[in-house]
Amino acid sequence: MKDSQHIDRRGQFEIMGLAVIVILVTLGVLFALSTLTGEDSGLQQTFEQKRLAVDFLKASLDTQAPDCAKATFRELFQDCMQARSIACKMGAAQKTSCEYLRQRYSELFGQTFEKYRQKYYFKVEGGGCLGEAAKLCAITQGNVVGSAGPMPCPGERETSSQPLPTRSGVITLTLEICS
Amino acid sequence: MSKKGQIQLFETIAVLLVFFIIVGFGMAFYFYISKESAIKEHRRALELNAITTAQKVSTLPELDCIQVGVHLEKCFDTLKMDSFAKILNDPNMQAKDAYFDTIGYSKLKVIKIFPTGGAIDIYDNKPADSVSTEKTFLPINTYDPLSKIYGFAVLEVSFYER
Repeated sequence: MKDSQHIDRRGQFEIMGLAVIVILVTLGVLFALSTLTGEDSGLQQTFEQKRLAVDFLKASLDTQAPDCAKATFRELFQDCMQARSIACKMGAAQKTSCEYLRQRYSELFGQTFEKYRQKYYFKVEGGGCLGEAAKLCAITQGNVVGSAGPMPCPGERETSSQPLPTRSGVITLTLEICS
Repeated sequence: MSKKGQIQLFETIAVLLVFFIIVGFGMAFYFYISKESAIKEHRRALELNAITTAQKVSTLPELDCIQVGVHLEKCFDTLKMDSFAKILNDPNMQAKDAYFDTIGYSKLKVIKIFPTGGAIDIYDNKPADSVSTEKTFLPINTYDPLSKIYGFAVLEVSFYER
């Protein structure tokens, strides 16, 4: 009787010891998972990406095109939405303001975001993207590519928008910087 | 009886040994995580320095564009840029020392993208004991007073870590 009680108590102590070890190991694994997988993007990265999006849009819209009678890119967007009266020369070819902008923005992104390996999505909207306004919306581009072409950032992002008023409605330029 | 006692003693020692091994692994892991966090914080501080330097330089009156008496933000006059680069890179003028408080150990490069290409190294102050570099870029406009055209460029700031 005494021996069986003694064996039971020993068994209980051993089980308790095992339980303590299991709890310690579980806590350790949980701590490791939370520390290793938790990504802290932080305020600084948010500010940096927001600043980049704002500065890029502003600088690009104020840029002048000598090939298009020195019109700014802002004026070219407005022309693309409206009269399409500005003719641009690219090499020997004549381009509309819409085609010119698409090409130039592709070059600008290639020398900036692509070069510094930053994912982005540049969206141009206006006139519901219907009829003639579809050519404006075709300027949309990005390096996050899905089956249907460039797509918005899949996860976290910082966004800057710039509305441009025109007689035919408002053009909205949106630049997303992916985290 | 003494054998039972010995067995129990060995059991206790084994349990304590396992316990201390687990604690040892935990401490090693904690120190590894602390070290990684410290490295991350250091990198963030460097990035912040690079961004701060870029922001300061983008508003320098020695470089900025003026239109109708108004100083334009994040716009560099190309003629001012060329002159400023010449002055800073002239070892006889010692102008680099005067700007050290503002710009520090860093490299400033303007990469012109549109309508013309080219790059200008405005300032380069690399310490002898530099171990790594943190880069940031800032989209800016450039203004050519001769052709009166605003272009697009990138101000690349490389901050040297000592």
